[in-house]
Amino acid sequence: MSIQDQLDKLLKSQRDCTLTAFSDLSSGLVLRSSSDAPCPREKLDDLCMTAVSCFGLVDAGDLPDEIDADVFGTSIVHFSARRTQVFARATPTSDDVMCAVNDTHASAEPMLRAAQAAVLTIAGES
Amino acid sequence: MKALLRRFAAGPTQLVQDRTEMPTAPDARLYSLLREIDETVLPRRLTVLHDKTPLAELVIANRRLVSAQLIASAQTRSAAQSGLEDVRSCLIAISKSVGILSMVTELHTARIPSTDTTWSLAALKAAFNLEDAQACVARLARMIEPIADAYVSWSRSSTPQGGHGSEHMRAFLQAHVLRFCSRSKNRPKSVRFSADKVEGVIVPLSAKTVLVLAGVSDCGIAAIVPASEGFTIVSNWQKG
Repeated sequence: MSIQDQLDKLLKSQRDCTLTAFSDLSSGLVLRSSSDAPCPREKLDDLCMTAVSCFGLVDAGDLPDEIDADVFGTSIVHFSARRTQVFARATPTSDDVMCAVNDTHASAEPMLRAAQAAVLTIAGES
Repeated sequence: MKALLRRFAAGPTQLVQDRTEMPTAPDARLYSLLREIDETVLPRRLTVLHDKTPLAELVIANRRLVSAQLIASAQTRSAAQSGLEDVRSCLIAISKSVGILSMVTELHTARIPSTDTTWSLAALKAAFNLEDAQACVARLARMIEPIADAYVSWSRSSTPQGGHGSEHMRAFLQAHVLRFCSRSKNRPKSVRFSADKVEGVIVPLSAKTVLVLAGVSDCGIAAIVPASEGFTIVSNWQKG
């Protein structure tokens, strides 16, 4: 299944998801995206920049024992009062990120799990 | 920028802003109207259109709502004459209208009443139970603190103080708070966390716990909470 197929599948599987994208953190570019309505390039760029900013927050050095080094830094949910964006990557150091956007107030957990599954599938196939 | 320059350069009878499409979600529409009020100083008449048909007309000046009227309803009444409940009903009717809406802004040359007969943004926000950013963070903190394994909070400075939990977990949280705050201040606008609205992150720490970090420029909270509760709390907080 191609990356575009994975993005389409993720978009359709999550009822409140409005946009999915596959991004490269090192270049700050969205490589592929899927959405019901046409999405301006600026919005995709902002999404990727938010992912860069979010992953820049995590510091894997000197982690407390309670924190799983394999989990910490692989995914982040960014939220505001009205929007949730999830970012998932296969490993804490990978530059390939699956992004998904939800403009409702639904819990982000199912969308995050689905994005994690999609990015692991892509990583396993590449 | 082009639209902004045209707004400032408009003559006495000119259109100030061409038709701009409004968001489709009701709450986003309401916020767009409130933002328009907040950004309007010189007297303006804002017409909300459904397709090309006028749906409502608002007069705004000095960042205050002077009047609000649904075109299909009775004679125009000033905001003060109509009362806050009528103004509220008008804005709700606009925000919940079905279909694609747009708005056009023109200069308003008629006399503007004194400020005590118009509605401030704060009064309108209160009428819609919209919180300011600090109250928003405080509401999230109230939900998080009782279930947190560890938390730190900050207010009026970027230095987290006090909190709850073991020393090394609080140190871990404080390090992330400092990074969160410094990124907000120092990065270009496109890469930083917003300084004027509440936003945050949920970072999974293990299969069972997540870090929830939320704030505005001068206050916020960072906490380690059970994963499922963390997601639920943020969802409930977004619902208001």
